[in-house]
Amino acid sequence: MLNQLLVEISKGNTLDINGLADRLATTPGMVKAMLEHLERSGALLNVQTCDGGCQGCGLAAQCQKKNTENRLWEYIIPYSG
Amino acid sequence: MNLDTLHGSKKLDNSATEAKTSRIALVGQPNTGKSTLFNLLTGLNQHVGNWPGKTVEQKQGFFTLGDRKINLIDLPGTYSLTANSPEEIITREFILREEPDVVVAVVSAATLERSLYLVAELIALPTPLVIALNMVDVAEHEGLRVEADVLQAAIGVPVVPITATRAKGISDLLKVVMQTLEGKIISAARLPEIRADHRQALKEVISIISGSVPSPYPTDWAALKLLEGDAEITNMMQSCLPDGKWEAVHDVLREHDDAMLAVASGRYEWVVRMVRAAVARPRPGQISLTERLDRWATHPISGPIILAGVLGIVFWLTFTVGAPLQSWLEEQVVVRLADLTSSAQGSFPAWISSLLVEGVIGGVGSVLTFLPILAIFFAAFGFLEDVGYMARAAFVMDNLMHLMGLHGRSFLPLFLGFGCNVPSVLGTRVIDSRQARFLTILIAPFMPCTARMAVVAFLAPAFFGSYATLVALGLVALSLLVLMLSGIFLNLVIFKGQRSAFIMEMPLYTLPNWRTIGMLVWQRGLSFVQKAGSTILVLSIIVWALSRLPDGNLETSYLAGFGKLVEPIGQYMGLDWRLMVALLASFVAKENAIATLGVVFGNASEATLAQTLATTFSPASGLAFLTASMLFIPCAATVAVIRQETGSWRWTFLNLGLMLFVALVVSSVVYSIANLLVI
Repeated sequence: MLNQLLVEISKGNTLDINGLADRLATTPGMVKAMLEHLERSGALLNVQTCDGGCQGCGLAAQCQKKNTENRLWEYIIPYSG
Repeated sequence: MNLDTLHGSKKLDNSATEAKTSRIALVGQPNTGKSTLFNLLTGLNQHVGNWPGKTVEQKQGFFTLGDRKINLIDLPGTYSLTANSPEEIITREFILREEPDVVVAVVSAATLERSLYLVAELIALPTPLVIALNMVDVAEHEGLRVEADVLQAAIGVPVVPITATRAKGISDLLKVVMQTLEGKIISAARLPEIRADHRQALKEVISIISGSVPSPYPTDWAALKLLEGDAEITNMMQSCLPDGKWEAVHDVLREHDDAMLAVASGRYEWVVRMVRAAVARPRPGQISLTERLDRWATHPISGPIILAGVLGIVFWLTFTVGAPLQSWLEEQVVVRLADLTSSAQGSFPAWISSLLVEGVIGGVGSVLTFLPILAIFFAAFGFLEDVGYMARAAFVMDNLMHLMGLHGRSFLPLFLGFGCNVPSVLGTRVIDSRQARFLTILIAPFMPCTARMAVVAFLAPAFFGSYATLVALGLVALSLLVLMLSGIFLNLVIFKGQRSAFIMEMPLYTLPNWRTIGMLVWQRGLSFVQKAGSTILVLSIIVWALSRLPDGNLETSYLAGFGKLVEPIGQYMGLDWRLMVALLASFVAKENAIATLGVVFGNASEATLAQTLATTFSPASGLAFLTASMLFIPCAATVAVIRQETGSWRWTFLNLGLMLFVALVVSSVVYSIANLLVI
């Protein structure tokens, strides 16, 4: 499943976690767990996007809500599988 | 790090050697409630220090269980047992070297997929394991039902559901721990397996290192860690294996350089099986609604259509509700106030009356009449943000940008530009490459910001009446098209087609919080009023002074003189000197375009500014002016930030030159086409 996830990511598209879960026939929680694993192992980079602060950002209201996170990962190592 | 320094030479000072004293280690990922359980069991009877040679906190405590004294060790929160961090090394070395009597793994029922990965590693170790299934209440609240009995049967080790925050299930947990300590529970754990295509490699490594793995490391475990590329175990094995054997191991590892994925993949397959067996997801509510909505909202075809529809509704609402309010304010407040001030002319000098009527009321007053339009605009976007749609809008737009070849890292800051170009330019800090970052800065101001949209919101209904919504949508689409074309160029030249994948975590759709939306409208509205009372007021006065000096006649004023200098450029876009001056004034702040027009046309007091503009200029000129306003050089604040972020005037002027060129060329083309179509 981790391989399938990496294959999907390596296509270089924009993906959302629910869509990935659908494609891998698993839960969004499982996709998140694997993404975090890949991030810890250095295959993905969690991109920090808030250097400019929240002013004008369309995602600011969501970020400030409890229990919601908008996270963006960038795939940074090539995968040959 | 030398593994011996951690536990070998300086073992924990505890009472493990005393009769009937048992040691229990608490293990778990961060935020699973491990510390809550530790505090619950040990109360005040605990010691806090540091692990030897580490800055990682060490906590241990004591409590009594039946006739046993229990030494409870709270191991650092860790996601796995691979040597990625000091916490992970401490945890696994403690379990392997100190050999606690029982390991209690605290897992969160609410994030079982994440928590079980650590369990997949723990069950491969020889220490007896008990799983404390915590946060059962949180999971139930989220619509998840975890069957502890089924999970226990699937994993093959005891699983006890608890809610540590409410001290629920603790006695059951302790009972199972006690039975495990007494040897009454014999676990038969079902271990995860490495992915099938690497099983032979694992066998080979096990056979090579067998008999050479130092105590207390199990051979199978050490072989897996070698395949995972664990730096600590690799160094240890390299130093203890004879050269020939190490070379053999090294050859296997080199042949299987993706073994790390194969090991992790095997564990995740195991986690999937456990979760599938034990978790029931009725979830008829929020999440399935979110998923159903997202099937449309984030779809590659329906997503952009919905986004265009949503933007269309926002503009329609803005023009339908906001524009009449704006006209009413202009007629009832600005025009009347101007009349009132003019009629009181006798009380003070004529130039003061002119300053107040044409400079302040004509300039700032005209801009302030935007307020209803902006309030509706802010409220509509506040609503979309609050219900969670803007994350989908970002996703859909990112997808479009990817299709057009724009690199994902460039998109992130560009998205911020929808609100204001200043954070957009600042947001380019996310781009590592200096060249790519600077080029992204170059195109970032093409993103239509709120201030530009306010100008469109004011002028589009004046020139195009009921077609204002379509025109506004078209102008946004045009700006995005210019941005995308610039992005393609950027991608081809700088990123050279390099791919990047972005994975977004979408928030749930939620009901709007009207207070939050109200606060957002208030804050942004207040910020706009403050801008009107400062920057726009000052510029209005300057424009008024230039339009009166030297002889009080607008046509022979300094402003007209300057405007006529640039008028030849404007003729390609159908803009006379007044519109050119308004366009140039927007450099200070975009809304100044309206303020300047208010000052310049201040004499036509019988009609509102919108009516005056509509009767003075053709729709083709109006469209060209709006196009130029959308693509024209950014405001002074954005230019200052561009200078600050690039540290270069050359890049700053390059940005100004690029935008000026694009604005002039595109507006001229738009004007010519509009004339051909005779609008």
